[in-house]
Amino acid sequence: MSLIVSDLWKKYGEKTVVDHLSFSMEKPGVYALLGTNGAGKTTAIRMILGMLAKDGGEVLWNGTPLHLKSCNVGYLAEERGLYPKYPLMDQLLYFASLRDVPREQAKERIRHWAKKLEVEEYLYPSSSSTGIRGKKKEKPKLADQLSKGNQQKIQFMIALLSDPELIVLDEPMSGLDPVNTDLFKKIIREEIDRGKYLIMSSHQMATVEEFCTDITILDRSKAVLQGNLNEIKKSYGRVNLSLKTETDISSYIEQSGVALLSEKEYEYRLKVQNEDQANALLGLLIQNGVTVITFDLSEPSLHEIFVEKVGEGHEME
Amino acid sequence: MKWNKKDFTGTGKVFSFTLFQQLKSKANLVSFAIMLILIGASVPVMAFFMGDKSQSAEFSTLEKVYLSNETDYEVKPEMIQQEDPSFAQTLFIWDESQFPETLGEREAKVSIAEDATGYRILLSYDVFGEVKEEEMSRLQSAVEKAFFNARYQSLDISEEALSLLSTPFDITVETEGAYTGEGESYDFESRFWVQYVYSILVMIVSLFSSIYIIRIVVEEKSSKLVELLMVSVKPLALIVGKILAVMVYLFGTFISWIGVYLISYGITGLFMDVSGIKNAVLSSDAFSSLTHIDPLLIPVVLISLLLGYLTFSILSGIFGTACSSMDEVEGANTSVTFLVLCVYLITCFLPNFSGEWVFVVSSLCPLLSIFCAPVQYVLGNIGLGLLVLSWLIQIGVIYLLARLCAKIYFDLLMYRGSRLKFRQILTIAKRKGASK
Repeated sequence: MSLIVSDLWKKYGEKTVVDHLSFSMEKPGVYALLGTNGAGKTTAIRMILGMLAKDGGEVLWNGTPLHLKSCNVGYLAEERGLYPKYPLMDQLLYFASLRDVPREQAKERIRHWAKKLEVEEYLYPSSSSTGIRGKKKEKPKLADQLSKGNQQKIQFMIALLSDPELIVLDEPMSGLDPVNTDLFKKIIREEIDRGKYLIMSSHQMATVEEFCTDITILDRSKAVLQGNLNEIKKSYGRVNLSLKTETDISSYIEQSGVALLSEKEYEYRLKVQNEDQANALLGLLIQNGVTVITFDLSEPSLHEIFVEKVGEGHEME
Repeated sequence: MKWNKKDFTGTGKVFSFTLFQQLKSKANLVSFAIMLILIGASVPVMAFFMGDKSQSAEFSTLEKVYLSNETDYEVKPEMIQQEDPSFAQTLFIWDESQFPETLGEREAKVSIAEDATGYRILLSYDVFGEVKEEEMSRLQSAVEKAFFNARYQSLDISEEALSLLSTPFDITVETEGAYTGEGESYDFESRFWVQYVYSILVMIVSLFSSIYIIRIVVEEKSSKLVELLMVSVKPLALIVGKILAVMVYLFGTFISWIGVYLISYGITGLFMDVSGIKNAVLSSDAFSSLTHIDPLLIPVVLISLLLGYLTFSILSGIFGTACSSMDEVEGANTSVTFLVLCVYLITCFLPNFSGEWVFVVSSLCPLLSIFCAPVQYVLGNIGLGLLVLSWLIQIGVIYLLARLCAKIYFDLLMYRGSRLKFRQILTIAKRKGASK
């Protein structure tokens, strides 16, 4: 299976909202669409899913145009909601039926995901003791009786109910507490292991970095950086240096020409031009009898790459 | 933009979900139950009051009637009582010396006089007393007939001749169509009632449907579920499913109300006298006008109602999607209600005009034809060909509205902001690529 997005573009009047976007997924994994607000991520996703008419380009799934019948898609939209006054179970069964999942199978899957996402108590009302009148069955919960996080879990369930081949998650972790974030991450990891194709859009770079193999960074409708995340990082080289010493080394840093990013109680974050410059600084410190506790030379984080790429344009403005 | 089968995939699922939720809705259930109770209870309540009225109608509450007759014709009390037996227990006094200064609560005075222009009958009673206006009407009618008979009797006319002379007759003016047997003739009153009853029916259906559809559409839009739905169904399937669900719900509701009324009528008839209700319905102008209509024309009415429903429900769907929150529902409802009422008011004035061009224009003009075309056909003012043409125009309007809806529905669903005006909606429709 493969997903190929080629030369996708859209204009609203004179304004280009997605400018000739191309990328492909040849094997299961997570592809990240990153960008600032209004960069065109959500518009691109809507075009990929066929919800929005494209002005040009094509989206192929296994070599044929992607549509609802050719590809089983699960989608968690950025704008999230549920029918506030309808029972949750009715809503889940409705969405499953819209994806042609047989009712009995849908019920099984709902139970499976309810257990995994820890929302069983809201979907399966239990009998509770109510004193002398005996047991009384609780009423099924409505969406507006759930917390925002639990509503998000129900929406995630909806996206997964059809056992999709392609899962599109637009800001999946936004607004979740750390416990639920871990729960979502665990499920995403499992879906990757099951050979699913995921497209993820997020502002949380650490999360994206955790899952994604390939990325596209969009800035004002254009792709400004694309490719395999590891290769992109490698291309930047090991330029982040973390140093921890027992004494003040500010003078040595200045002497070696290394840029100081931050300093806190002899813990330094430095930016070097290359590995040789870092090694030269280390040699200087040893030569002068400075005890080095930590010396960590690493590639830039996705966050830094993103800020550098997107920040360039914004600075020019 | 061409439609294909894919555009309607999922309509059935949207229909069943929407209908099921409407039936389960607590607010709907409560209002439905209240209406059923009110309708069910209305029959015995009406029977109780109308039965009481018929009892009282047997003998008038009038105890005394002072009869002053200045003419040469002798109007005897028994003549009045013979004309209307409800006055059998009423005492008629013609001795003017017994006439009081003021009339009591159960008293009336009848003065029959003659002047240069003819005869005058004056009836007086205490409006704040116990005598009802309708009893005075009956007294007036009975005195009128008694005086009429007294005049003929003064000419020594035999009973048979008098009976012959007083036989009622009816004058009807018929149209050329009725004369040639091609159509029936209807007087102004019939035309008014047929138009009035049908317009009310269309208005109720249109207003109810708009309220429900706008609410459902805005509810879905404000719940921010639209994007999730759009992955599985096309916008057209989404709105068509809703319109059909509301149609079934509304028509089902109306039918169940009628059913409950009939059941209640049947059950009440077992224990109470319902002839009062029956007589009131049978003697009403509306009923007598509607009974002129051939039952075979019911399909004409149903098709017209369906087309009217579809027109206003698609319009409601468009107005609904122009809203972003439930707070704006009222504004959208007002727009549709205003439109429906405007058309309704125009149709109310139409029976005052007659002329072929009025019949044709009102039957073919979009929106107006929803209210007028079947009525003009039923009244024989237009032929079947013109009615079918009217339906085709209405179907064309529905098609155009549905196309407009399909073109802008996605954009409107995704729109977040203050309620859009119809002009702005059309601007969106004109925009290139506004199909999804």
